[in-house]
This record gives sequence, C-alpha cells and structure tokens, in this order.
Amino acid sequence: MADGPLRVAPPPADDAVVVVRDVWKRLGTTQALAGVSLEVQRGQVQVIMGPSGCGKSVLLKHLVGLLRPDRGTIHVFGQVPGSGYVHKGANYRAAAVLGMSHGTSFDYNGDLPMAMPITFGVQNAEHEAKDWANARFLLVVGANPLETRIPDAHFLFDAAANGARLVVIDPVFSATASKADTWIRLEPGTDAAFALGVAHVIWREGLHDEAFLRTYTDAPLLVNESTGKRLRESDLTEGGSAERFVVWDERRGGPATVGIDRLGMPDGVEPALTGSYEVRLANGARIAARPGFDHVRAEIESWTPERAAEVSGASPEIIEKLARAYATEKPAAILMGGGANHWYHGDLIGRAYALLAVMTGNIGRSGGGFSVYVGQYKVRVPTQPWWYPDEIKPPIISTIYWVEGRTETMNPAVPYPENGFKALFLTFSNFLLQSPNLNRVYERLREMELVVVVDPQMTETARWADVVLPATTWYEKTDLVATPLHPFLQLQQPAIPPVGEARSELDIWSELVRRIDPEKWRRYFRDVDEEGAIRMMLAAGDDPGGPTEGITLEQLREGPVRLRVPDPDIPFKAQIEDLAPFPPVSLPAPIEATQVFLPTRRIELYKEEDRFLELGEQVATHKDPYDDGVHDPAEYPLRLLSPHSKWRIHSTYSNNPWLEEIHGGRPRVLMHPADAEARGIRDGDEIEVFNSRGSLKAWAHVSEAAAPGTATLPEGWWSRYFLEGKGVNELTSSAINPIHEVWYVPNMWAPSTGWKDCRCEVRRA
Amino acid sequence: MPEDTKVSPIEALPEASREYGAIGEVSDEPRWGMAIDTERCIGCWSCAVICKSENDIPLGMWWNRILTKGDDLDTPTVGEFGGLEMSWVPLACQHCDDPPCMKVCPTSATFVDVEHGRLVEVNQEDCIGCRYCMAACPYGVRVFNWGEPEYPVEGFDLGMVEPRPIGSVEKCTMCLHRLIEGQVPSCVWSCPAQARIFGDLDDPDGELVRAIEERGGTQLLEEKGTKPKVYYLEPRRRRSL
Repeated sequence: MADGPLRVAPPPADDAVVVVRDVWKRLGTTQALAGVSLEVQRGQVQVIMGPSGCGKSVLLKHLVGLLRPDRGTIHVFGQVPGSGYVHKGANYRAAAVLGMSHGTSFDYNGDLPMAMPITFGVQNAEHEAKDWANARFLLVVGANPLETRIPDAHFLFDAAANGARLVVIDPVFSATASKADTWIRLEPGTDAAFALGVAHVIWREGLHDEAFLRTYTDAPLLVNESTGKRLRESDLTEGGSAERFVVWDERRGGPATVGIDRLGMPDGVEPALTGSYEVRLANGARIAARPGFDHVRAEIESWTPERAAEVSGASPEIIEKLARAYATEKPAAILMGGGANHWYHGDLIGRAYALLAVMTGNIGRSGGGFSVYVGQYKVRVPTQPWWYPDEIKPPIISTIYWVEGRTETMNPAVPYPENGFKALFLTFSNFLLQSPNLNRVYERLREMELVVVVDPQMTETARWADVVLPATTWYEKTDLVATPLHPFLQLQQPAIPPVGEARSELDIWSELVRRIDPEKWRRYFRDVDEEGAIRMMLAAGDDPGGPTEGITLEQLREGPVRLRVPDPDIPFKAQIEDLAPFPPVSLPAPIEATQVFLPTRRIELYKEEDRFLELGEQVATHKDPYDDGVHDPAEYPLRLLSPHSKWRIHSTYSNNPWLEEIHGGRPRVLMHPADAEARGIRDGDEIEVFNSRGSLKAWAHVSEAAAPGTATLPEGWWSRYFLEGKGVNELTSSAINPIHEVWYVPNMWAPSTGWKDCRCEVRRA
Repeated sequence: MPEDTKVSPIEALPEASREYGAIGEVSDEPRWGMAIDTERCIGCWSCAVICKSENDIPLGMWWNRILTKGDDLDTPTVGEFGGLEMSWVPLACQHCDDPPCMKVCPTSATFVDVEHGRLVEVNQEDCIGCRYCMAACPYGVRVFNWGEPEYPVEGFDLGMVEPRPIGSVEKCTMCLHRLIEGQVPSCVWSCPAQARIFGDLDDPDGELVRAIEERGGTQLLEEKGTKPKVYYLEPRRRRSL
C-alpha cells in the first residue's frame, strides 16, 4: 500500500505536483501550459513537473476559477469520516469555508440501515463486538464476520465456547456459515418474509415480552382507523397537547394519555396492545382506533410459517424451531450485515428482524440486541469545531443525487445545487469503481468540467481524473480514529515519512485554500495542524459525562483510550434502564434533527407519516425485490450478489501482490452447478455477466456454496482484473426508495443504496 | 529500506503487545510445539502473510499456507449427510521429532536444534540445493530459491531474518529469532481468531498440552511416524435446532 508501482508519488519537484488529463485544453489552458509540451491523449495520464513558472500554478488557479457558484457547485466526496476525523474532516472544513457542497457516504454505501432511524430514531447503534461473547443465541443474518470482521470473529467462538448457539442465515455457504450450528439458506431478498414467519410463531406461542412492548415501544399507542394517524391528546380534548399520545387503558376501560418526556406508562394504566376501541374525539365524533401493535399483529398473523417458507425457501419446521430457540435462549443477539441491508427494501428487512428483538425484549441488554454491522461511519466525538469552523456548514447532499439528479420525491431539505454540479473533488474513495450503476455514473462524469482525485494509488478513479494530487497513506500521517465495534479512540501515528511528494489531505486543502482565498486560509487553515484539530475535538467532548471526558492527546500517544461509554457498550441502555426517551443522539447531528424520526419518542413499530401509509409500509412487511420490476425474471433469472471479500477492504489492497498470490488475481463468479450446467459453463470458464445496465467478463467458480439462481461476484475488484467491463457495479442499481426521502438528515435518514437488489443473466464468453 | 533503519518489530511494539506475545516462563529444555484449533481457524491467511513479512519470504514462496479441506481455496465439500462443510488446515513445517528431511540431507544442513526447543532448522550455508529434503517431506512445506529473491517493492524487505542464498531450501523456523527474544512465533501472535496455541510439549500443565489432551489433538499423517510437534484440534460438534 505504502509503495509499489501504482503509488502516486512522483519524484521531488519544487511545487505541488499534479497529474493532468487533456480536459485542461477544454478549459482553455493550452497556452499557459504550452511550455510543458502537454500532449496528452484522451484517458492518458501524465505527471506535470518542472521549474517555477512553467504553469503548474496556472492549473491550480483554474481550480480557483471554477469556484464561481453561479456556474454550479463543486462537489466534494470523501468516504465515511469515522475512520479519520482529522483528514476526512478537512474535506468538510474546506467545503465549508470555500462554499462547496459535500457528499454523503454512509447512505451512498448502502450501509445506512434505514430500519434503525425508522425504528429507533438513530443513524445506527450496535453492541460492541466483545459483547457477542455474552450472548446465548447468536443469529447472524446476511453477514459474514469471519471474512469481513476478521479481528472480531473470535468473539463468536468465545460465545460458542460458553455454550451459545450460532445460527447463520445466508443464501451463500459462507465461511461464517461453515461454523454455524445451523445454517439457513434463504432466497436472497426474502428475509422480511422469513423474519415475519418467525415473529408469527413467537406471537402465536405467546413467547413475546408484553411488558417490554408496553414500556418502551409505540405498541400500545392508538391509531385512528380512518386516517392511519396516531391519536393525540389534542384530538380528544380542546387545548390538549399534540405531543401526548393515547392508549386504551384496560383497567378503566377508556382512553389515557402518555407524554414523550419519559418512557413507561402512567401509574395504574394497563394499556391494550390489541383490539379495536371506540374513542370520542373533541369534536364529538366517535371513531374506531387500534393500538399500533394490533397492526403488527395483523401483519404477522398473515405470515404463517408455511407462507413465510414459500416466499423465503426455508422450511416451516426450521422457522418454528428457530422462533422457539431465539425467543427462549436469552440473551439473544441479532447480527445483521450488508447482505440483508443492501436491498431497496432493506429497511423492511431490517424492521422485520428488529421486530424480533423488540418483541422478545432483547434490546438494551448485554448479549442481546439488534445490531447492524456496516461501515466505519461512526462519529464518536464532537467534530463540529473542526469540521464546521465558526459554525459554517457546507451543504451536505446525498451523493446518490449527484448520480440520479433530483427525484420527484426528494425531500425539500436536500440542498440540491440550484445550478447543478460542475466539478467533482474525490478523496478517500475509488468512486468510479465503487459507485452503483457505474455506466450512469460515467455519464454524469462527462458533465463535469473538472474531476480532482486525491489518492495514494493510481486507482481506476485516479486514472480518470483531470488532476491527481498524491496523498499520503495512513502509514504516513496523524489522525484520530474510532470504529463502531470498539468504543476506543486511537491516535493514528505515522510509521514512515511521506513517500515521494505525497501530502496529507489536510496539507493539500490548506495549500488549495491558501491559493484560492488567502484570507480564509489565514483564518481557518494556517494555524492548525493534525494535533491542533485533535485537541479541538477532544476539548469539545470534555464535559462531565461527555464522550471524551478527561481524554488527552498525551494519553492517546500511549495507546487506545476507551471512550466514556458503558462497559460493555450497549445501545439504548439509558432508555431501557432509566426510561429516557428515544432516540439517543447520533453525532454529529444535533438531537433536534433526529428526534423528528420518532414523534412518539418510543421504539416505533408503526409509522404514521403519509408516505408509509401510501406505500403500505406502516409496519414491517415483505415486498419483492425492486429489480424484479426492472429486469424480467424470465429474461434475467439470476440474482447478482456482490458481497465483501476477505482479500480486500472494498477496493483497497485489490492490487496487493501477496494477496494476488493467494487468490490468483482473477475475479471469479460463484455459480451453483445446476445453473452452470444449464448454461454449458464449467468451473474456470470465461463468462459474461450482464443486465440492462451493464456487463462484464470474468471467470466462473462453480460450487455448491452458491445458492441456485444466484451469481456472486465480490465487490472491489479493480476493472483491470476483468476480461472486460468496469466491474460488478456496471450492473448494480442506483434506484432511490422514496421512504428514504421522508426526512432528510445526511447519512442518517437518506437514500441507502441496494447493491444486492440486482438481476442478471450469465452466458459463456 | 537500508539495513541501519530497520527496527526490530519486537522492539517497536508497545509494551502491551510485547506482553501479549511473551512466552513466559520456560524450562531449561523445552520441546516447542503448537496446536492449531481448526474450529477457530477462519482461513484468513493472516498467519501466512505475517510469516511472509516477518521472514522476508520472496514473491512466489510461502512457508505457511492455508489449505481448504477437501477442495480448492475456500470451496466447501458435500459432507456425509449431504450438508456442506468447509474448514481450513494451516500448513507449515511440522517440526517433526523424527524428521525425514533431516535423514536425507547429505550435508547435515537440516538438523534438530536441541538448544532451541528441538525445532527442525536449516543451516542455509551448508545447504547445497539437492532438494532431497523436499522430496522426503510428506507435508510439502519446503520451498526452493531458484533465483534472486524478488519482493513486491524493491527495498521493502522488512523482515528480521537474513535472506536465503540462491539454490538453497528454506522453510518455517518457528520464528526462532523471536523465540530467542522470548516471543511466540509471529503466526501465533498475529492470529486474529486466536486459533494457535504455542508452548512446551513436555510441560504437562501448560495450556498447549492440556488443549491437546482435552480436545483430542491429532497430528498430520501420523502413520508416517514423523512425530510432528504441530497438533490440530478438531471442530466442535454442532447442535441442531
């Protein structure tokens, strides 16, 4: 990574080094650059070096020239900031002070588990990995921690050694499946049907936790039968509060109201969870109302194990056995991964699994929980003073809108640029490989006047850039890092000096801002370095009870420091133990931004916003995968799955020579022997994988590990490894689910990509 | 990287990491061995990759590989009852107590190092490259230096071990250079799944011997009479729902 033939690290020159594509001629800079004989062919890359005055600064000034907002917006994209608050934060800081827009990543990555904001009002919240060992039952769904959470995999074995049961749900026989007590193969994208079948059995056999549902959830809150909206106190009495909700008190046989400042029920109130009740409104009208849970009940009662089995491919017996074991072997943890989340209806899948954890009271308990392990998104310290100096915030736009443009259903809070996008500034990202629906992405790319890439490696993305600025790797710079699975702050300290002329992102931004706006540079960049930024963020959280209370840079130099969180770190502990209202804060958003997700301030199994009602998604339900409506299953009979690979971290290390020796350097598409035989394909054959969005040519890997009716090609392979095509994302979809547009808080309630919701066909190449 | 800028990875480690890798108390005459828990092994190759780094193993050569039981890399087999099965066998020198490689070596370059835990070691200077040992080893874990060693990046031979001369045979040393420093082999230290147990096979109270006894550890190709010092622990039994 730090070195090698693809390292973008030209030999020393006297100034910033840039790599240029012929687009500069389009910008009218040929004259200025004539002195350096810039005869570049389309798509070819050259390094510009030379003495002062040869034109290098001219290039940078053209970047300056582009900073005229009347001509459109420069869009900055960097990957999830949780894995480097300083340098990824520098992106935000620069975007803020220069007036550029900044893209989201967690939602664009498809990792934002929309079930979490919908149900719990948070961006995401997961048990720390070491808490797996405290579980008695581990239900791993659409996740393959043995390959994608390698350092944490041992906690599963620790749990098993303590007698826990491990059940793995995956269409593919994965490494994790090979360790399971029980492996259940589902038809891809049918998890919601399966989970609702499990919920059916739990409900039918009375294995659910009624007290939990009454205390912590919206289950007892009455819903007006005719409007689908929850009843408020203000509906019942003139001058009543719109923030008090109504339950049916079975003891008194009449309505009672509950507030939003504390969970639980008023003393003596025993709210009904099911049934239909007549309620008299303030205007005298008598209406029928049912508790929210009665809607859940109706849905899960329709999902008999037989019906769930028919949709999902699991047997009714296994659904029944799983339900009994899951509901009785407590604490039981659900570990959900991208395989279940990366669907257009991944929110419904997540809501169905979350329902199991909520129904059985497995929330907020060590060894239990509903955790979605996706991405390094988590912001664990108050980053605002570093990212948003003087409280200036750049417009943050879900990157999917850069691809798709405005949608009819786009939330008005999305700050879509009035004059569109005109330039793309990419850091920490192999954007032109790792975006969905790549051919559409490349169309958008042609509309850009300038593409700048900051990267240590000559990736597929860097190859397409107009300007490549050589970046340091993480081995060469200081940063502050944390992960969702381990509540520790860690100082990333350089192990080697920068290679060649590589510079850190903070340095690069500082240099650009200096040339573009010296006044802003003096104010916001001149006097700050990595350590200054870190101290700024530590100080912001150093309040009594704050996340960084008492944590100093000096301590971090000695090693990782545990954040001031419970041990083990369990989400919703304050809600479960102290009856604090949902949701807890999701940094860096203020609580006001995310509270709106849960008007009841309770776990919401029922959603009342108009779009949920219009689409029939008030409660968790199953819907067929979206791509079934785009690609006729008769014509495109296979589902294309693109899981993570253990040989890379997404596309990083794709070109590692040692790993190439292990995996052979050939992208292989996993197919079931029956599917291969039907197409005359043998193991190792060259094959074409295609749908209406794109195609690629690679090699077949024929094995029983594949589910019939699927083709599996792990994401992250660089284009150059394929026989033809840009990679798996030529085929994936960039469709936006309008439910994800009901609210807009970047990376928290925003369109989440459905990578696995993709049909294809395969033929011999 | 120039020789004088090399820092011993052991010395460079924070104290906590050194503690994690410390062998601890050692008897005067240990018999070093290892157990690999195939229940815990996840086939990640971390041990193989760190081995390559630690020992400056050139491109195209591996002292330590991870075999997938029964089939190609990461491909399951259909088990006795029709179910799919997959497990891994990390494979390096077994450090046999009765090593066939030693018996065939015409120059005694391969020897049992009685001063260092009875490990099987190679004196590279004495190796004449006849490769009899490679033919004799039933485990196929020895590799030959056909030419100048090549590394992914020139100058980035980060390991702490002398490069081996052209025409010599090399293999796992059980990280002898680390053992001398009181640290476990790098494959043990680095295993993220904590699947490897290192210790003295003559210490009946040690974790290693206890694990082998409790879990019924087995040796590879036991019937060959090579008496490997590496044991494999079988996967746990699965419970049906």
